[in-house]
Amino acid sequence: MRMQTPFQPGSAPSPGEAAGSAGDVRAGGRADAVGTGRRRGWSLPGWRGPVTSAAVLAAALAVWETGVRVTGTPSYALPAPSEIVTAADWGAVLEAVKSTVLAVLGGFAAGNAAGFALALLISASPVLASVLYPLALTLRAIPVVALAPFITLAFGRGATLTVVVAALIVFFPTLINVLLGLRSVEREALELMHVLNCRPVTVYRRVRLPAAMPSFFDAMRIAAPSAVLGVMTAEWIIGGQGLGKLVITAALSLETATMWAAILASSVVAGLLFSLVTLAERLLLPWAERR
Amino acid sequence: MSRNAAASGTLGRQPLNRRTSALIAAAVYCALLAAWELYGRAQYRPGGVLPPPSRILGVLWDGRTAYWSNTLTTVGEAAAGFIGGVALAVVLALVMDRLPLIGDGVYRLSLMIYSIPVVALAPALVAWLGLGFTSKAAVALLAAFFPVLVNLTGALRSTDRRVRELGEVLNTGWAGSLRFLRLPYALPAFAASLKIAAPAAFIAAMIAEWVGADQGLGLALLYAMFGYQMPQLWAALVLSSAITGLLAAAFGWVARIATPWHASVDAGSERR
Repeated sequence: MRMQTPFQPGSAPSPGEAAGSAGDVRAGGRADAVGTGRRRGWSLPGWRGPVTSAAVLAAALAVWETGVRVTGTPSYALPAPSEIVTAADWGAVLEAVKSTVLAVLGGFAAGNAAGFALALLISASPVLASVLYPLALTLRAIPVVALAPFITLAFGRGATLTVVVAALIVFFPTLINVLLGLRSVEREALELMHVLNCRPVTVYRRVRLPAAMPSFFDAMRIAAPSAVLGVMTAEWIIGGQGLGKLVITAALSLETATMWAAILASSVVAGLLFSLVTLAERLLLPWAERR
Repeated sequence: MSRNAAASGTLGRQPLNRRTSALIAAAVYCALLAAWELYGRAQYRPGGVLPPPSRILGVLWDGRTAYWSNTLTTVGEAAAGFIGGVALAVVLALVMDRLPLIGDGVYRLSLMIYSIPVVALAPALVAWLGLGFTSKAAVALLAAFFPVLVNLTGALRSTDRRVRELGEVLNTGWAGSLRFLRLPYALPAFAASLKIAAPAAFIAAMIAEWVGADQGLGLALLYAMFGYQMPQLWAALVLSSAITGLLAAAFGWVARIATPWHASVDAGSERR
């Protein structure tokens, strides 16, 4: 990794610096487009990413804090960050985080497994593909979260059923992305396998599955925050003791500090899941091209 | 897709041609629907999970005025939120692009806020803005705002080096380079984000109605649940799915029309 001198206002890129920063960028983490070609003006090398993010977050919190104090906003409308820290019921928040995370992880595992298996089936069998692919595209239009009342009527109430919502949310992006990944194989690679007289199993193992992996991780990255959101919303209807339930009970009893604490906790959980998927991708697919 | 399908065709298994596969699919669906209809009629009880499709359509038809006004309510909330959210996102993206140092901070902040489940804010917004139209439109606005902001800003920031260099060579300045080079370059990502944002705004409005509302499709879903009325619940689900599907399809079509030069506009892949 080449060190850059930070903050060179208005410097034109020097030769040899053209493609250099793409590698350092990745230290910045999620969907971080800093350094894909240096902008005119301020340049931020990749290792500063987390530092900058932390500084920005601190600045935003400071603005929030002073804004609330200066305008004298009552805490039931919008509590200042300091009030959230001191007044929130963190014990309840932690309990809720546990419950929601369990449901999300369960749904994540089930939905990904089902989506991946079905994608393999569809890609292996033309007959199945002609039936299931249009069906999958049709079903994808269903807003999964809106199924919560249906699940309640059909199967009853209970925390375990929120897992179903998470699994369904994860299922569709995985199915469709893996399917496209399996199909997005270069013709030359297939021809080579044909020339080498490989069995279909080998073609999948050596060519198709590796090709599908990056889009599988893309799907997981999208699905992780959605699954958290889905479980939280499903908790309002289906029941359970997670973050979604806490948000709404705290809102109804005007405990705004706890409500905001739960909202912030939910974003931390979603962000952590997102980062975990990204980290796993970097460890497992070091060869994949990063966007 | 077609190229690869053709490729696999030359290598071993013949894929089905379009007509055969459409016929097979149609046959299977007809059989499924018929089986569902028969099963539903045989097993029918008011709280049954699978009311026959004919009955669901009947419910939709009999309650058409109520469903129509409820749908209009939710679509109106979603549309107001969507328009506001997209407009705000575009303005903010351009401001962030003009002021790189501040923009960098705001971009990072918006990425963090992006992972906040927007609908979790619904109770707060309903408590603040009341049960009417405004609170639902606000939730829809937030749901539409972030995908557009993050996608558009990301695309504006990651403009191809060659495009940038062309701008420098032609000495276009910020406005010129934006107008002639970088906006066209970012347009596909913007169009793709609309395809995410439109259904998201509708779903967000619908879910926000669960927190508190006096009318709307989300409320129709809840009432059907409280009344153990499976056919009504199915009817509301069919309606809402049709709307989200149509929204995604419509904006996908707009994206294809608006950015004909971009080959990968709609590969069907879901990317953020």
